[in-house]
Amino acid sequence: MTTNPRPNRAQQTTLRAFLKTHSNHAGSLLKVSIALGTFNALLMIASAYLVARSIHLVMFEHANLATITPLLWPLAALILGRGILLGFSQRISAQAALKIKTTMRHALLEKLTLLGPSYIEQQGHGATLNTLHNGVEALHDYYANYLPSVAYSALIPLAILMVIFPTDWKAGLIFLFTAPLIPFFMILVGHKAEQLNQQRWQQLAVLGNYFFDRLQGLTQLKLFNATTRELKQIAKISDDFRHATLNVLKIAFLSSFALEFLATISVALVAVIIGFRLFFGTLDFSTGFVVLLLAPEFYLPLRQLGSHYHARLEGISAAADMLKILNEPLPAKDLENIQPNTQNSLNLPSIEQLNIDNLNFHYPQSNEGVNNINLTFAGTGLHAIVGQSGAGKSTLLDCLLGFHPQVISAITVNQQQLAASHIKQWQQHIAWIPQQPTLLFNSVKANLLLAKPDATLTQLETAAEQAGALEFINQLPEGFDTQIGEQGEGLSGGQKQRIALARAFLKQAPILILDEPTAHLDSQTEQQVQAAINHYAQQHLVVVIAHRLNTIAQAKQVIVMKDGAVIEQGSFKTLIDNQGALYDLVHARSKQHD
Amino acid sequence: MTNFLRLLKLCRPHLGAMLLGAFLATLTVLANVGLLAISGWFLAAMAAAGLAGTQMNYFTPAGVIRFLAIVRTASRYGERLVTHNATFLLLSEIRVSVFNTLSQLSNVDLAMSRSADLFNRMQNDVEALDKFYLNVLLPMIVALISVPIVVAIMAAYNSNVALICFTALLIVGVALPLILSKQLQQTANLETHYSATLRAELSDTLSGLRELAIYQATEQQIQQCRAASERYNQQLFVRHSAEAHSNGVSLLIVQLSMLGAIMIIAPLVYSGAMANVELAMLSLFVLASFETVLTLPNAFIQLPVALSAAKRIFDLEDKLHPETTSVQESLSVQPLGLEFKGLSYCYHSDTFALNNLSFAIEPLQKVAIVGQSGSGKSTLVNLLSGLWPQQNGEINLTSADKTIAINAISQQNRCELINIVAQQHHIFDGTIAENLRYAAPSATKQQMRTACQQTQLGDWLSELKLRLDTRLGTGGRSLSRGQSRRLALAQALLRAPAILVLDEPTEGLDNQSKHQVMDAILTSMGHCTVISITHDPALLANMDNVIWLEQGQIKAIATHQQLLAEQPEYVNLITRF
Repeated sequence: MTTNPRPNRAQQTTLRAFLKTHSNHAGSLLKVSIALGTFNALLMIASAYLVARSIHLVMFEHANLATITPLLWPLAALILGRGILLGFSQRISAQAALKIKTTMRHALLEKLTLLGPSYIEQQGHGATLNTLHNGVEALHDYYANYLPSVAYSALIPLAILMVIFPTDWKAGLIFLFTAPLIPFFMILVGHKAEQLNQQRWQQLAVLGNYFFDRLQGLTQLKLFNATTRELKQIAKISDDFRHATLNVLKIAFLSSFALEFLATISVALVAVIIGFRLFFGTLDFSTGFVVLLLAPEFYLPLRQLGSHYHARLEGISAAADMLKILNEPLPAKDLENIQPNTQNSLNLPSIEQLNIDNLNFHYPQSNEGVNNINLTFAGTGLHAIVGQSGAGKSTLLDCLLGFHPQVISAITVNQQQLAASHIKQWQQHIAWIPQQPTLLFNSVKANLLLAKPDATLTQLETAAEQAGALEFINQLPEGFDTQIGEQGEGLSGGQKQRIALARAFLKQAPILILDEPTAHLDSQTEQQVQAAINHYAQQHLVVVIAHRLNTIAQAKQVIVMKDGAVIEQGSFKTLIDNQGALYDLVHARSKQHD
Repeated sequence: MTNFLRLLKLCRPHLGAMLLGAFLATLTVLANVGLLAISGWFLAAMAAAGLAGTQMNYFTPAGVIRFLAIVRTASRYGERLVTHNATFLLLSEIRVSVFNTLSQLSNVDLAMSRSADLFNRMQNDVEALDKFYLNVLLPMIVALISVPIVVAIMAAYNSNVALICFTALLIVGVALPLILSKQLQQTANLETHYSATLRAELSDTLSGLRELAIYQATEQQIQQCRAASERYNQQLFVRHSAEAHSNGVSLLIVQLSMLGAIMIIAPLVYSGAMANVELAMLSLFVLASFETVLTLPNAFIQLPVALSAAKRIFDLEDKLHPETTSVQESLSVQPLGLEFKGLSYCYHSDTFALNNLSFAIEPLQKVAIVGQSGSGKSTLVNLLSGLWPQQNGEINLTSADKTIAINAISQQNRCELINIVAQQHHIFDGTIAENLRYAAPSATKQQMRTACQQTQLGDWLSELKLRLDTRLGTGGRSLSRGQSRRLALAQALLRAPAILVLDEPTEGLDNQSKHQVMDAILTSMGHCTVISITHDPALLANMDNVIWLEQGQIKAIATHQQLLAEQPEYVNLITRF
């Protein structure tokens, strides 16, 4: 159940148009499905004629079974054909929906990778994931059921009318006049009923949320000793909602009531009128019976359309999120045009020196960012960045990693200024571990191989050993082939950290950038990881966002950031001796409340 | 079967509403069947009378047709209202029952099956049961009542037609759905599995975009997602095509049984053994009779889903053991100390989370607990809460005149004495006042305002238009981390416990909110014993004593200043940037 506000009518029109364009990916399949469904209806009409004719012959022409057998055989064939057509039509419409969903999901994913991680963070990881997963699936009923039923509601009554009119135009007139009444009443009642129906779904969702929220907070309720009270509350709220919802339903059901009423009364009316015409001999029985057989079928597609109402709303609501992603403008589309003259290949046999000159970057619609950063890193050694949260440390690293192509030219490596076209090559020179590394839903081995697809087992083991991960990996049930669960489930935080570290080591990139975990790993792990990083820093450039005293104490250079700017840099000893910002950071906290 | 009966038992209090719904639903179906059959008869009779030039009473059948049309529509409307009412009644019943079960289970039973997982499953299960009546029970009752009626009436005309029709009804309503549901069950597991895989792949891609870019693996991962999506959809297609085939076969059988009826009756009419009008009537009757099993296939498909959901919920219910703890004592809120004697705890058989831990806390003393992850801090808090059973050793409450084992008092009494502010403190979807009332049901608005002021929420509160009646959204979404911590402290203040337990109260906060939370804590600490897990030097400096745990044992007990001066490792432990 979603609590998404339902789109209003104007939005719905846009969204329906959007969904229609996307049906093009399987347009021919959908058309085939609808054609088969319509053909099925034509066979239905034909079989109605055969049934009526046979019954007429038996009843009034004194025919025996042998006389009508020539009619019954084709009838059996028609029935068989109908069964096959129905099955295929539904099968193909499911296939069409499937194809559209796959294309849509892929388009969304491609667009999201172009929009980049900061867009996803802005929208919320969970919400985006839901759009990609459940949201796309919600389109199924829209394409497989709702769209075909829209077509049927126009095509089938039309087909019936076209057959009925030549046979008996008076009966045709009855159909013709009652048919528009249905949409007319639907619109009349439906306008109000749609709102109410929306309310109903929202209320159900609210009720569901209330319950599940309390379930999630169950431990809290136990600690407050409030479970018994809450039990009564849940019963009471469910009851209140029942009353409120039923009041709504009384009206909401009116629309289907009107629909059913019209359809049923129309059928009854047709039956009675035809009955009288038969009585007075102005119509032969065969025709009358055909009309009676076709009457319910005439209204059926319109009634079925109503039953797909929910599929339609769900599809349209889900489409809103997708449209938003697909319509989002790309931040820097004409990047390549900014520096058209730069040479295209980046030649970095080794890293001698890395400079950041006058780097300025701000996120749109946010004050966060970095101002006027000027830094120099030597080719080897541990460089620690410290500062409070919101000081711009992560933004600085993102710029360094090339995630903000607009500002990549602020980086110079070995006197060579980087350009947007270099980013891919540049990233090959970097290994990176974020604070919460992502381990893919795959084996330990596959996760490591991400860094170096052609690595040998020995290389894997060496990297794992350096990261202090070899021992526990070997203890896993299937060693390197053990499957890692979603979000690294089944591994402790420290283990995940070490696998990510092993992955970074495997890459043997000249630059290692990492965001130290703030959580307290157990002391042994912490020491192991620390030692491994220090060792790596002897031969490579390591830039770390440091959260622990030990790390900065061992750094070659400490960079202190505040409000998006570098306010201090130098060796740990110098900075502490100077009693400046770093000194305050280290000592201030123990003084605070004295 | 037992689960089905248990589920029915759960429905019992609302039997009346449910039966009324079933009655109206049956009426709707029968009126519809009757409408078509009588229309067929009416047409035939009128034509016959017209041809023969005889008179006939056409007012009665015409009236009956109109009457049935109205009955059908009205009872359909009534049915929908009544059945929805019954659904809501049942929904409330199920939720209350599930909640009751879960609230009585100990956290060991709950946590061992990973709470997030349990919670998700519970949500799906409850939602599956929500529609048990509407989707499963109702179609079955309707078919059980109306099929015999329809077949009996048919048999009065011709038993062979009735037999064919009955067989076809069984095939369409029972046999086909059973086959289908068996097929679906086989694919259902794969479907769930593929769906979870797809979700995991997508989730990895979204959260790992940066790393994937660095490792040049974005394209590869997108291919993975594409493959997972394809595989999941192929699996779905297996189900959809099974459904499509079954629909096709149903149509075939329905139409063929009408054909069969014509073939049986035609010779009888020819020989004069049956009135000719009955052919028209019965052939339509047969066609319409399938209305009685219209919703039955879906019921059989939903049935296993509902039953397995019910099984999981009943399994949890069966885990409930009757309360055996004998409650001997009761303590009023007063200055209390704590005494731990030889406390050990294992989550798994061989590793000790707590290993023979002994120490004492004086009444009104403020104690901090520090230690690396895995040192046993959280286990200690869990054991204090009473939601986790003690294994070895003792926890005693000490007052000026006596010492009482904590297990000797009731859980309710324990909750009054000890207030735990957990790290994952849950803020409920409701107003501020409602959240505060969870902690203290009888608190007045004035008391709430005071508590909020004391926990530095006063300024924020006065900026809110609705003040205490402001809604906080699911999981306290509209609150910052610092605000939700302070709200938890306000709850603690309203409860005025003897012992206040805090779990990393300043962790993960920016500097400004850290100051505010700290002030709130210092206010709350006034009149009670305090135990706080923390690594925050500012908070540590305000505590009387620091207990340093390592691997479930005590590494040191001393004041913050002493440890700072004597233990360099301690400085490392508590310094974070």
